[in-house]
Amino acid sequence: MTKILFFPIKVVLHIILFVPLLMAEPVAQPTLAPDQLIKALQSGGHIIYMRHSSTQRDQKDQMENTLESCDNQRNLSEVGRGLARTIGQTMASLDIPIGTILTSPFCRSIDTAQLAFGRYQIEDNLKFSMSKDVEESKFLSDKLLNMMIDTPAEGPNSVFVGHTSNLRDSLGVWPKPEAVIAIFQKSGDELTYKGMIKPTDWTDVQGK
Amino acid sequence: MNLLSNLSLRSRFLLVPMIFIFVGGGLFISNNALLSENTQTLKNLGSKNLPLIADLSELGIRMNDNHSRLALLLISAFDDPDEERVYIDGRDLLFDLHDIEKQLATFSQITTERNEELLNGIAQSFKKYQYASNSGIEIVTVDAKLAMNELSNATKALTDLNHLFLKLSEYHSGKLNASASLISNSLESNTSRFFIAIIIILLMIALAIYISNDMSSKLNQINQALIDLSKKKKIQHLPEQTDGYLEQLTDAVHAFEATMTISNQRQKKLQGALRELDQQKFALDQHAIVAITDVKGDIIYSNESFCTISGYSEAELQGQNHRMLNSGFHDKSVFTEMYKTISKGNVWHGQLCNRNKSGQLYWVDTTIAPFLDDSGKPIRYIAIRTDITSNKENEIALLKSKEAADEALKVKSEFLATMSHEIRTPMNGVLGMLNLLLKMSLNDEQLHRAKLAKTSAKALLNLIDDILDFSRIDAGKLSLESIDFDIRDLLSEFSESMALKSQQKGVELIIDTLAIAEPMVKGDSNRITQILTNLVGNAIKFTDEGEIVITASLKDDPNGGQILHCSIRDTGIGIAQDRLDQLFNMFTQADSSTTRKYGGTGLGLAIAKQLCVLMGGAISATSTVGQGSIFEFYILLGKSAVLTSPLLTDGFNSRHALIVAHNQANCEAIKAMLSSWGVTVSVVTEPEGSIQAECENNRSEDFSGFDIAFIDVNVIDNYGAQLTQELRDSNRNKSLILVAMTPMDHTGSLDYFSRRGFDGFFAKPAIYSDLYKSMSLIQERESSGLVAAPVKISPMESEASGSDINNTDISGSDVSEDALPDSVGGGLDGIRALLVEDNLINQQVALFILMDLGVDAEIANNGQECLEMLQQCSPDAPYQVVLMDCQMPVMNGYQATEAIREGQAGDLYKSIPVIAMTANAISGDREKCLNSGMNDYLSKPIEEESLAETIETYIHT
Repeated sequence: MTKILFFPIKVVLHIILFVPLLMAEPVAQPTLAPDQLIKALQSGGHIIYMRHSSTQRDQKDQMENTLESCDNQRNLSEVGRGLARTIGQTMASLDIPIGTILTSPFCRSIDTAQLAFGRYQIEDNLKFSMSKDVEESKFLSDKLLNMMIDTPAEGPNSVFVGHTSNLRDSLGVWPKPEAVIAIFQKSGDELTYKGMIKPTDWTDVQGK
Repeated sequence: MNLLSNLSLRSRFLLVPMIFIFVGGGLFISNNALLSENTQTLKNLGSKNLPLIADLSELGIRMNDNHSRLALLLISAFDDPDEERVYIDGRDLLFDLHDIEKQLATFSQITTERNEELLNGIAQSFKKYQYASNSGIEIVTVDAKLAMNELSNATKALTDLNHLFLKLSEYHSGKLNASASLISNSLESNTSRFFIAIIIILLMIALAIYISNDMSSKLNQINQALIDLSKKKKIQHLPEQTDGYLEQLTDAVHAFEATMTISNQRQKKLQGALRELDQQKFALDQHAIVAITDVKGDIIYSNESFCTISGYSEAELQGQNHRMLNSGFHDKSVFTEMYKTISKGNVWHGQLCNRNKSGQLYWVDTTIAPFLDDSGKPIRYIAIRTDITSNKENEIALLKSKEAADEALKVKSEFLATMSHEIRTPMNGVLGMLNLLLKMSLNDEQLHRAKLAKTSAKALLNLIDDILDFSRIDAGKLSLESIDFDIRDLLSEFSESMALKSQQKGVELIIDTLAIAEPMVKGDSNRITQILTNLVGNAIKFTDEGEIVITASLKDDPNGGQILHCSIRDTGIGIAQDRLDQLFNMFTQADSSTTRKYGGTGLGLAIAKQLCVLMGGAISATSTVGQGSIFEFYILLGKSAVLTSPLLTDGFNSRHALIVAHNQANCEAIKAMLSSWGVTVSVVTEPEGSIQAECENNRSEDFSGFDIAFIDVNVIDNYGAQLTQELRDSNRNKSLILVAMTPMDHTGSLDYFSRRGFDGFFAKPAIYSDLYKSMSLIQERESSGLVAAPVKISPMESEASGSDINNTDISGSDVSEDALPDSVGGGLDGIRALLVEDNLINQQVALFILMDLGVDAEIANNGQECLEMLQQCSPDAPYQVVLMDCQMPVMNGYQATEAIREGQAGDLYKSIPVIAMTANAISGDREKCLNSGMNDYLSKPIEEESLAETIETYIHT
């Protein structure tokens, strides 16, 4: 009986929740190559969404009190720490201007920001949205979208350090692999996905 | 048919339908309760258990479905490890899990004690499952092995969850089963109850048919018998009954038959008694006013006398409430009380005033008796009355005349008091003027006449004082003081003050205070002196020879205070027995002829009596004509907190004293006092040869001569001065203290007594302090060994305090009073005084006296003028004293003094001496004067001497 009653509600909920999400996904357009992206970044006014660097696979986020201690979380591996540092140094050597750096409260994001840029601001709403229920993941993705729209259109690039699902829910872009940066540009209230620079891309650029 | 109305029978017939109703009702109620109970149970089942079980199975299905999806997703990721795809599919899966979590949360709302544990388990397992799923999805693209671990965790959690779901379902379906069996059981028992009830009802109906058939035939027989009885016929046929109830009925019919026979006989007797009663009532009607009312007071019957006195006809009275005769004369409470009495079944008796038809009042002596029913409740009242109108009218008239008489008496008393007061003022003027006149140089004839005028004026003033006192007491306006004083001192001083007068008549005055142990008391000493003055004054007046003995005793009153008992015995002319009773009435003397001979107002004893009564005591007199009278009185006094130190009489013990005096009573009084101190006393009344004998007679072992001898100087006068020498000679060479007892006015000097060999002397009467001081001489002599000059032990008349001993005297001379010492007033020359006095004559009198004293006096007519004159007075020559009358127009003396003390006359006069001069000396006035700030107090008529003394006291301090 309840099942019968719940079913239409569920259908409606799905429509309400996911239709706008799908609509918010930017229209597929050709993305730029890494070197083009670096050039764009060098001119400022872009938004960098950086996925945290690579992690230790034998650790996992605990069921309870996750954010209270780094011990309750999956943290950066030694490789990940080196990677973050290298990417930061590379961006600096390329004269990419960096403005505000907001990071998820998870230790792996904070460490990534610290190692790459040497500074950060913790933004609670950047926390990992996976495993949250419908309402909360929607809230977090909306929040991310708004924060990105609120970044300055000119000057140094704004940086967000976080997780996969948040960006996927907000802008339909899956940042892969760990330590990847996805670049967006704002025009009015619209965001344009410019492309991703994978960790390996930085060595290619440097090689050039 | 009458029998059917019998209660017990009715119950029999009612029995069947009643049982039917009860059983039916019971069935209905229990059925109803059962049904509603079952409905409730079903409702509970429907609302809780059933949907829960349904939801549980649905959730189980969903969980399992979800789990297959999870497994599929994780396995598919091996082939296609696209993180994004896995995330998108996994996200839906996780959202579904959140949905399930919410639904699980709704279960906890129907937590009971027993399933709480299960629900907690479910929540925990579910969390584990959720976590495992989450972790699996997150990790699968990175590490398939780890993902498989998570899947296995999830599978484990799901197994637990399914197990718990099953348990919960079992629990709730168990509950459902229990309820279902409960319902089925109760329905079963209900059905059997219903069948039993039906059987009972059928049985009852059968029984009812049987009873009604049987009973109605038997009852018909009894009914027939009763019809026979009522027609006064013999009972035809009434068979014996076997049924208990019907047997009783039959017996009752028989008893009824017997009773009817007896009652017929009684009826006849009763008719005879009624006739007799009628005749009695007729007799009663001839004498009394009779009415009968019902309980509400409505008249049912009234006899002819009632109609006559009330003026209404019987028809007019019939059915009317008795209140119609209410005159309004009595208070409502009278009738309330009456109704209370009679409604309780008691007889009320009283006198009532009623109003007749023509509006006239009449009085009836009324007795109301209730007629009571079997339970003792009144059903009617009979009122029997007698006309007492004429008696009552007489009574009221008498009462009114008594009230009027009392009122008149009171008015008279007040009038008398006022009059006396008013008369005093001019009398003071007369006396003052006469005093001034006497001080002028008059020839013998003029002097004689002026003195006579003064004597008469004084007598008149005394009379007025007495009247004033008497009317004050009579009007209840006399208040008593309560001060501590020494009663023995009072009596001693009083007797000394009276002694001169009695001694001048040759009468011995003796005071005996032996029976006063502790002399301090609390009371009004002035009023006690007033009583004594009256009694002793009378005694002196009516005694020409012999003695007057005042004996006083003080005893503890069992009620707290003390009782002073005093007797005054004289050897005077006595009073006839038939006059004694009227002695203490006002204006009565023993013999009206004595008034002319002895003077007196006849008020003295009446005042004394009133004062005794005021002080809680009484006065009485006994007398023998030609031998003398005894006046006795007693009064109540308070106990004083002040203590006197007791006299030290140890040294007097075993002393020997000799008393030589003619008067036996005097000797006895002195002897008694001395004996009480342990002194051995010998008495000689005729010294011729007996002194010798007395010394010889006492030749016992412990007697070695007298230590002291008290000798009345009368004896010396009769026997010569050699008596003292004789006494010393016969005293075995022992040194002897000789004390002379003299009259008050004895003119002897120290030299006189020295020449006659006396060691000391005192004036009679011998009071305890005289005797004590005399006895002390023995010890003084022994310790010093000196023979000193004679000691004067008590004051003589020439220095006696100015007590007025002439209060009751109208014929005695006033030598002492007129003989003012020349020195008086010498220190007052040039003193400036302000005399405040409204009466012109009194102004003159006072002015002359002041002039005589050398005082420079000015006059103010009232308090207001006094203040003005003080204010306007030149500071070079200020007033030094104010003499203030109390009662004045415009502003009286009290107000004026208060104003002076407040500084209204200037700071200079704030503490000027103010001496009051008022017309009558009573205690209230004195306090009033001092309270208002006056320094001292003089009563009119103003005596030159006391005025001079008083002014001097305040000028020089």
